[in-house]
Amino acid sequence: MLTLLVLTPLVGAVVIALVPARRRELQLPLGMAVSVAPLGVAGAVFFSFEKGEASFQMVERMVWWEPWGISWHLGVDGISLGLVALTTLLFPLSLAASDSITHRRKAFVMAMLVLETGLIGTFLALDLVLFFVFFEVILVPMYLIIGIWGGERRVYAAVKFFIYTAFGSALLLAAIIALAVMHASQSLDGALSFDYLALLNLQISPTAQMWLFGAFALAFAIKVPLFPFHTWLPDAHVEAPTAGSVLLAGVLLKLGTYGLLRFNLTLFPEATVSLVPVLAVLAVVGIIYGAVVAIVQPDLKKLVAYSSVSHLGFVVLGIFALTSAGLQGAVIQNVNHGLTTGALFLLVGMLYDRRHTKKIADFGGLASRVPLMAGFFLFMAFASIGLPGLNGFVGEFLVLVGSFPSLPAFAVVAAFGVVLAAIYMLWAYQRVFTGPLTGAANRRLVDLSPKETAILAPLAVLVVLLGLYPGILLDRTAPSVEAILDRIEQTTDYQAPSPGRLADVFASASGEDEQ
Amino acid sequence: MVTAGVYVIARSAPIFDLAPAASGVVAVVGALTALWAATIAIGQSDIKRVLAYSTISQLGYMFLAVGATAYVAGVFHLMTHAFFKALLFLAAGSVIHAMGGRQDMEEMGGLRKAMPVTFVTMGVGVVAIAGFPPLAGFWSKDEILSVVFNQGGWYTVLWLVGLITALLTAFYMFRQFVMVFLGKPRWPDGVTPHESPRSMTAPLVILAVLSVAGGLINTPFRLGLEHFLEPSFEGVHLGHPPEGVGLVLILAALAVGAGVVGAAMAFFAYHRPAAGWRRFQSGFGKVWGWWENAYRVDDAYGAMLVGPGRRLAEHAAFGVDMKVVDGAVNGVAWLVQATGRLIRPAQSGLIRQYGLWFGLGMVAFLIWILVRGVA
Repeated sequence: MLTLLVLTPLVGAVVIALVPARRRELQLPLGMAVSVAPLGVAGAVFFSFEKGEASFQMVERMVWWEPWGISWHLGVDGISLGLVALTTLLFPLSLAASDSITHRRKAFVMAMLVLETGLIGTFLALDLVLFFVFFEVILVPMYLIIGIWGGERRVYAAVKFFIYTAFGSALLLAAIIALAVMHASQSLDGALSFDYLALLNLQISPTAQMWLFGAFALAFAIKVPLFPFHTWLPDAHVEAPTAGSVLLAGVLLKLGTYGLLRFNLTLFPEATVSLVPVLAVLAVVGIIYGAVVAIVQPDLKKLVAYSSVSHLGFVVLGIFALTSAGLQGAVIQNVNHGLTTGALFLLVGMLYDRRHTKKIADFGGLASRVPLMAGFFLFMAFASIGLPGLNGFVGEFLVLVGSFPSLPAFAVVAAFGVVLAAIYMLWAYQRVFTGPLTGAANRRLVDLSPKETAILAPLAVLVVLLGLYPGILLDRTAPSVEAILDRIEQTTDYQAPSPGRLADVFASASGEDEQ
Repeated sequence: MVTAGVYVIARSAPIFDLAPAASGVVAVVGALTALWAATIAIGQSDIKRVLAYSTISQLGYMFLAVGATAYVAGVFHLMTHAFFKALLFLAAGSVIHAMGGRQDMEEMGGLRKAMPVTFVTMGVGVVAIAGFPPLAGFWSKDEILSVVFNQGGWYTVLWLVGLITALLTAFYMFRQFVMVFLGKPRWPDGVTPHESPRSMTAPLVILAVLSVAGGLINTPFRLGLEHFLEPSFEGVHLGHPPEGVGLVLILAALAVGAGVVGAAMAFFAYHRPAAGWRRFQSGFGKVWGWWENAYRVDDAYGAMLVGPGRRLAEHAAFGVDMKVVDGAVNGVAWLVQATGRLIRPAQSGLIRQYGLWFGLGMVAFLIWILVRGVA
C-alpha cells in the first residue's frame, strides 16, 4: 500500500506527460484528479493505522542492490503518519489554487506530481539511501517551480534555495556512508547496510556520534530552517508561486524537523543529549528572532514566511525538550503549521491574483469588500497565533508544557513568541483588512469564489478538529514518541525530568485517585 | 468581563491565604488604582471615558477588597457594580443617541427635560455609585471600607485612600450628571435631543430598580450573599467588619459624608455657566492636564515600548537579517565565485604554459625530496 502511495503521483506525472499539449484545459483537472488518489490511499493508511503500536507498520521491503545493502524499504509510524496525510491533502488543494499558472502548465503539473512522490517517499523511506534519494529528488521540481513560475527574483531565489540545501545534503550523504561503513566493520558478515532498522543497532563512539549528529543536523537545520540558516526561506517563499509556497512551508520545512526526530534522536542519542543546549538556543533564538523580523516586513508573503521561522523554532524546541509532551507537541505542530501557514499562503496568493501586489501598504479596509476572505484570514491568523480551541494552541501548549520540566528558561522565553505572533499577525490583519477602504483597485476587489472557498474550507475544518480533538492524531503518535524517549533513556544516562514522561503523568493521576 | 481578575483572585483565595504578602500587594495595587483612575475620571469630558475610568477605579475597590481578604465584599461589589455600571453605560448610550452620536459633555447640558426617563434612571445610577444609602453601591462599598479599616495597621492608610476615592467618585459622577442634564443647553446647531425609544429606556428602568434594591441581598441585617458564599471560602481566613455597632455606624457615616462632600463640590463647581467651570478647572493648573491626559500612560507606553520595539524589529529585519546573516550567505557565494575567477587563468589552454607549470612542479618536487631525504 505504501509503495502505491509513493508511486501514484509519479505514474500520474507520466500520464500527464502523454496528454497532448493542445489539450491544455485537461492538464490541471487531471493533475488534481491524480493527486486525489494518494489522498485516498493516505486516508486508508491513516485509519487502518494500529493505534497502540510503536514500531513501523505496513512495512514493505524489497532488496534493491544486494552488495551495497540498499533496499526499497518503506514503513509508517506515528512520527511520519501525520506528515504523509498532510502532504497528500495539500497537493490537490495547491493544484486547485494554481489557475493563475498559464505558462507551461503541463510541466508545472508534472513538477508538482514528482514533488509529491519525493515528499511522500522521504517520509516513508526506511533505507537511508532511499531516504537520501527522495530527499534530493525534491530539490529538482521545487527548483523548477520557483525558477520558472516564480516572481521577479525567481532565479536568484531558486539558485539560493538549491545550493543552500544541496550543501547541507552533501554532508548528510557523507554521514550516511560513514554509518554504512561502520555497519560493515561491526557486523559479522562485514556487509554494508543502509537499512535504518539495522543501523539502529550500531555501537557508535560518543565522538563519532557528535560528528555524525552534526552532519545530519546541519542538513536538517538548513531545511527547517533554524536560525541562522534561514535566509533562503524568505526569498524562496516570496518568489515561489502560491502552490510552491504552500508546499515549501507546509511540507518541505517539515523534512528538517522530521529528519531530526527520526534520525538524530534515535541514531545518535548520546550526542543528542549533550547537544540539547545548542539546539534549544537556536530554536528559541529562531522563535523570537523570526517573530520580531516578521513584525516589520512590508510584504505580506514575507511576513508569513518569517512566521514559519518562528513556528518551526517551536517544533525544534519541542523535539529537544526530550519529554513526551514536547515531542508530541513537535509532531502535531508540524501538521498544524502545514495547515494554517498553508492556508495563509493560499489566501495571500488569492489576494495577489486579484491585486498583483503583496505589499501591506497597498491594502487597507479590505474586509468591507471581501468579508469572506477577511474572515478566513483572521481565522487562520488566530490558529497560527494559537488561540485555544484551534489547532495551533494544542501544539504550542504541548511544546511549552513539555519543555518546562527539562528546559524551564527556554520555555519561558519561547512563551513570548506567542505574544509576538499576536503582534505581527493581528497588526498585519489590521492594516490589510480593517479601517477605511483605500485605493480604487481595492474598491473593485471581489470576494472568494465558491471554488476558492472550497479550497480553504477543508483546512479550516481540520484546524477546528485538531484544536478540539487532537487525540485523533496524538493517539496515533504517542507510542512512537514514547519509543524514541525509551531508546534515549536506555542508551544514555539521560532521564527525562518528572513529569516529562507520559508515565509520570498517568502515575500522578492514579495516585490522586487512591487518596 | 473586566471583573474576571477579581473573580480569579477570589477563586484562588486558598492560595492567597498561604501568602499574606501577596494579598497585601493586591490590596495596595487596588487602593492606588482606585485613587489613580478616579482622578483621571475627573478630567475627562467624553461621557463614556468618565465611565470607563470610573470602572477602573471601582475595580480598584474590588481588588482592595479581595486583597484585604474581604472576599465576600469584593464579590458583592462586583455584583452591585455590574448593576449600576451597566445602567450608567446604557444611559450614556441613550444620551449619545439623543445627541446624534456626540460624546463630548461640553456640548450637552440641560437634557433633563428632553429625556426625562434617561435623566431619572441615570440619576439613580449616579447616586448608587456614589454610595448613598440605601442604594446598592452603599452596602458593598461600605462593607469593603469597614473590613479594610478593621484590618488595622497600615490597612488604615488604604482605608483612607478608599475614603478619599469615595469623595472623588461622588465628585466626578455628579460632575457628569450636572454637565449632561442640568444647566442650560450647549447643544451644537442642528441637534435636537429627544427621549430614546421604549426599547432603550426599558432596560434602564430595570437596571435602575436593581441598582436601588440589589444591595439588599447582603446587608449587615441579613447576610444573604455571605451565607451563600460560605462553602466557597471554607477554611479560608476572611476579613470582617468591626464588632462594635457604634464604630460600624461611624465608618458608614464617614463614607457617606465623603460622598456628600464630593457631590456638593460638583454641584457648586459645575452648576453654573460653562465659563464658570472652565475657570474652576484652570484653577488646578497643570494637574488638570495630567488628569485630562490620563497621566500620559499611553504616551509612555508608546515612547518606552512601541517605538523602541519597532526600531529593534527594523534593525533585526533590515540590518541584522538582510546584511549580516544573509550577507554572510551571499558572502560565501561571492567567495566561491571570486576564487573561481582568480584561478581561471590557469586553465589557459596553452600547452607551453602547462608545460612550464609541469616543469616547475617537477623541480619543486625534486627539491622537496632532496631536502627531506628519500627515506
